[in-house]
Amino acid sequence: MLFSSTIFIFYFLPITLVIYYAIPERYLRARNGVLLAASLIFYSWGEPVYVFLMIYSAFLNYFSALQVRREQHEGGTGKKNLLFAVVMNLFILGFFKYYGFLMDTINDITGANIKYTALALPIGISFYTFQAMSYVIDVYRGTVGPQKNFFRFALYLSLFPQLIAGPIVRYRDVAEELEDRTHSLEDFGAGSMRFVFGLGKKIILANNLGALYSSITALPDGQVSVLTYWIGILAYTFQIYFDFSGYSDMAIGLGRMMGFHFMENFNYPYISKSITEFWRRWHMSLSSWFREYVYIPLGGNRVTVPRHILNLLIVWSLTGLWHGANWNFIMWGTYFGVLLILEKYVYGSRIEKLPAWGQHLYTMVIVIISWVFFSITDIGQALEYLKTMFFMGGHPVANIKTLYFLRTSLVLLGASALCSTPVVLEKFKKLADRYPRWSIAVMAGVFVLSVAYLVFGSYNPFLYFRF
Amino acid sequence: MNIKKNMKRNTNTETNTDNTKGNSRTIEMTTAEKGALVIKVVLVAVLLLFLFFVYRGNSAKDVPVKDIETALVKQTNIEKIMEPCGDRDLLQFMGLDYRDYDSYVYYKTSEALGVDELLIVKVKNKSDLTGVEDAVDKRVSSQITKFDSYGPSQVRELNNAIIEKKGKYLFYCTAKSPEKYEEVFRDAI
Repeated sequence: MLFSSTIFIFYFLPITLVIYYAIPERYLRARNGVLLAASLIFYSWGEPVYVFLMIYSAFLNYFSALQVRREQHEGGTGKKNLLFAVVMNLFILGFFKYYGFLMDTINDITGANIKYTALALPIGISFYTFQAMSYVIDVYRGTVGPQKNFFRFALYLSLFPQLIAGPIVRYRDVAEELEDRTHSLEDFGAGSMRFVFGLGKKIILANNLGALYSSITALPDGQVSVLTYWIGILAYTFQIYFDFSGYSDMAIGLGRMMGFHFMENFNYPYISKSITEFWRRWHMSLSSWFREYVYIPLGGNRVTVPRHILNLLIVWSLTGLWHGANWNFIMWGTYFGVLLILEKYVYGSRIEKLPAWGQHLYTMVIVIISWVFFSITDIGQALEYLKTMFFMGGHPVANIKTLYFLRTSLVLLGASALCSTPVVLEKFKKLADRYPRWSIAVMAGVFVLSVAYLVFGSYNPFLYFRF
Repeated sequence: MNIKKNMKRNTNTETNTDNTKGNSRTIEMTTAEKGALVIKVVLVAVLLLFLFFVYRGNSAKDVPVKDIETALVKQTNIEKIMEPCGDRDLLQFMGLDYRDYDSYVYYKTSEALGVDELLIVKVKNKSDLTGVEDAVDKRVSSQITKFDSYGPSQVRELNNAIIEKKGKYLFYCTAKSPEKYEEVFRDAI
């Protein structure tokens, strides 16, 4: 089930909220029970079989954390049990996500043509597996105590607002709220507004941008031009941001409606002045996960320069691989790894001396190029797309199609550029402070428009669903 | 001297006590560890069994082909590139008789020089998949032969075609980016 679907907005969410709030606040256990049941129903909607995998994963990690603590209590290090949990989690993730990729690679290299069955990827497996691993590692490190109540832990792992596309919520960040949280009208209101904002980003902006990008990539060779391809990838650049950050907004908003405060996942990444800054603002929960559980244990930057470079390359190729089981994602991750190394050791200081617009331009060109590798899984086709963008594909600079796309999408692209800066939200907040009724009218407008698009529009993809 | 002796005696006693505690702890730990080991073995066995059944059953849900088509229309721009085709087209272009199969969805470009097409067939028995796969292979080969001498971009698309079997379904797509349709198909079942 998607947040941006009529079933969720008009049936699932209202029913869940009514039942949840019908229970008096002092019976938090019962409220948690409602949330757990709702989360499992939400997950089984699309994955009736894989809900068992999710429950299994919850038990595996719940049990492993208790064993880690028991081992430590008895004078051991807890490493054996930690290793068991990590190996099992990675095995599950590897089997579902990377088995097909591995077989394809073996077939390509050896030409063996081994037949295998491609399995459907359980929704959200990358997110909940990473959450589960962070929990066991944190218990091992002593950062957090193990959760003794299985149902409470299962709720943490399956909590429907963040289940499918994050943010990757660490257990220690919500441990207290699982046991004791307050509900207020203010939180509910702020959460609802955040949800509507996210819905608008996803439905009004991302879906239309996606349709534009799809139309451009489907153009026959004879109608392609340099500028058209730039418009296409620019549309994708905004689409992926509004799609994913919109979903994160909805997740954070839904959490807040039920008393949870999840970490922020995006902080206007497209206003960054360097790639380093971009990654401090993009998918922050994933970046901090890799920093804390891979980069720092590898030695971080407190090592020799060659080792630091190796650490960065390892972390960034893994980040790429996390996004998808394909070479283009590994290439995408490594591309950023190399650029971060260059910024750190080669030209970072020179970039800082550029005027602000130059720094923005540098960052955006690199980011836009990266989305070519991200959006086109076939590396050959991605390179063809890039060649055309940089006048090497033998296509004209512009043609009649370019004019058509420019005329029909200029407003959309302009609005997207504006909405990817803090300006719009700041203006809205000022408006809300001065004229609260107007702000409610704006939100209602966004909601109605989004629902209209949902009901009458037919194009509603979700890019991060598969991760 | 006496004080020293007493201290030594006390130390011994402490050590003995520690050893005794240590032994009993060792016995307790072994029991707890044994219990944990049994649970771990059960966990591994349950996982392997689950994976075996998922893999054997191919995890494909029994989804009506119509639902897959709805997902394709909703999540891709298929309607802009191709047009839905009927029973006669299926027979004419793919050589498949719709009556032999549970259901199907077939989209094809209307452009005279286009090769874009998408076919999803749900068979009645898994053994029927081989016949459908042969028909699709034949179609791709004949299209390549047809465009070989004058349509390099069409041939590139055809060489890049995706044919995939999953459960009782066969998915075939020739398009500029067939992966995006394949992804929707995979997500749908």
